[in-house]
Amino acid sequence: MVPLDWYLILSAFLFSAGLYAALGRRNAIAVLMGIELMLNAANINLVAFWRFSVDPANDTSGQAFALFVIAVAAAEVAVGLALVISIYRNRRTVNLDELDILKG
Amino acid sequence: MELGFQQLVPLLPALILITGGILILILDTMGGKKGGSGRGFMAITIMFLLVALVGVIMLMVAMVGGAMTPQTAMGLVDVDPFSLFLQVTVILAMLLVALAGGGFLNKRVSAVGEFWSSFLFVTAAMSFAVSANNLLLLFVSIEFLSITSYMLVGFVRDDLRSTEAGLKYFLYGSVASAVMLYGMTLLYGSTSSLSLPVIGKWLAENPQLAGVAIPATIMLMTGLGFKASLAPFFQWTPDTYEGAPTPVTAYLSTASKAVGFAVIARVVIVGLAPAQNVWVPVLGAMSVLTMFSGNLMALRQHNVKRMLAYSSIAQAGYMLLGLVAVVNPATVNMPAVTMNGLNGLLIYLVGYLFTNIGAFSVVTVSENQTGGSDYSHFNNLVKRSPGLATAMLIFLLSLVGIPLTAGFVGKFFVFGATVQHQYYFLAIVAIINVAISAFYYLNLARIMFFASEEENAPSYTAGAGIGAQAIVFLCVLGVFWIGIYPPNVIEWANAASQFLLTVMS
Repeated sequence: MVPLDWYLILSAFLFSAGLYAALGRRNAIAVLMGIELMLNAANINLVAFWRFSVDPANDTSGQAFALFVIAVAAAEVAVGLALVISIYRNRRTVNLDELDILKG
Repeated sequence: MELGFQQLVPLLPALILITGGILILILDTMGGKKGGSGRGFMAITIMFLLVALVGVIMLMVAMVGGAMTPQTAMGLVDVDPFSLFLQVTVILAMLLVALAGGGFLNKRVSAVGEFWSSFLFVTAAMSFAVSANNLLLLFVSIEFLSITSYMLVGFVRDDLRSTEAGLKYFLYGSVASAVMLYGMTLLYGSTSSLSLPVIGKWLAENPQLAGVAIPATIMLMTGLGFKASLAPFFQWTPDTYEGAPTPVTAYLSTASKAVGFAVIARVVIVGLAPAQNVWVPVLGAMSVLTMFSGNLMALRQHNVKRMLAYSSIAQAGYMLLGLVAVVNPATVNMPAVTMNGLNGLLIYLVGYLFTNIGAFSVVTVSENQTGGSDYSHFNNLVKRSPGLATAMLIFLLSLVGIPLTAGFVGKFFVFGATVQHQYYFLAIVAIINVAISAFYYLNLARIMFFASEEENAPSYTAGAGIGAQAIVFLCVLGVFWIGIYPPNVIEWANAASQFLLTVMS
């Protein structure tokens, strides 16, 4: 069986890639993709930890959590895309640098 | 596990809110292409919020009086004095916001049915979030709260500022909650449990492995600190507060923030108590950073909503002191201490609720009358409506923390706890920050009362709504009630905080 470490390394890599995309990209859609990667990294963690936990047959908490995360991620993307579209309709851009009516 | 009606009773307030939300959605579809009327939906929302508020208050009275024992419904939802106290706070805040801002929102929002049902859903999400004692429910309810809030912020679709604020809130928020989720998985991986009490027990039994608490704490604080707008995760706050419809801003700065603090409190006190030498310094540093960045940035603002946003960041820093002061190894018998920090936090939250909802209601009225919320729109407010100007002055004084106002009582308890637990450095920093904050709060007061005549007074287009005026008056009463006669609130806050602290020790 593949040891736990490998799963964790994979998920850490995915998480870092997602965080990099979320913080580094200027396109709202690319940021959304980065967020998805981060959520999926957490899912890999959850399922891997569940599989290697003391009693995977009777305690399904990790798997259940992963399912919930998938559902939440879908809801999040739906709302996120709706916001991106409503911005695009008004301004013809989804570049975050150009969204500067509200200045910090 | 048996799922009987008996177990659902403590959850009734939240279930009532969800029923109301679904009811509005159904009525909206039945209204045909045009949908229902905003006023009708607002009335339904207010009615359901009122029923839920009465419900949680009755549960709280029963709990404090001893007629009901703290229980955990379905092993996930804690119904205890702490969660009930926050539910009362949150539902009260949403009720005040709905009453004060309903008319304002109905005029600007195109899809009223969806708006008001989301409003009820967001309240239900909050009442689950403050009572969740399991990482799974915690994550789901926080996401429920966040996603609905993103929608509400960006709801005015033809207003560029509203959609931009919504998108910014969304992007910051989802990154923060993804990081939080990753932290939760680490905690799950090391303890094999999602339940906060079990995690706490495990950490206490395996002190040699408490090291996992370090990354987990930092990652959890990212997501939760975002909700409570703590430094360094507050960058969304000014933009979102400025762009969002003002009543939505009012609840983001009070109810949503209260939820953030409640969840932080429950996670660190129930789940991570054995790792206190990890999170006490983290929270202390965040608190100092939050106070300074909020206050210093607020000094140079020219928009009232933006100034209140930075002020709410600074206030979050003061509140966080209450959590830092919860533990000190030197204090042996924690629950016996009168100022245990946590009760200071709770009192502060209630006082801040009245103050800030009142202030934002004044902004709502002024925005309705003049079309904007810059400082120039508040020029000589006292000439246009002396009542509103006086109320705003009271709220500003309460935000500074002048005696006889709610802000003073909250600060007294929180700062008192830091002194009592010998965090003198934090207390001094807090006092310095209060002094800084007086500058910008009183600057706005000067503009409202003593602006020079040649500065153009804004044109006056509409009358103040009766709802908003009534809520401003109620909030003034609330500020003085907590400021002058706080025993009731203190008693409930003590019951709530002592419950959680007994769990810890």
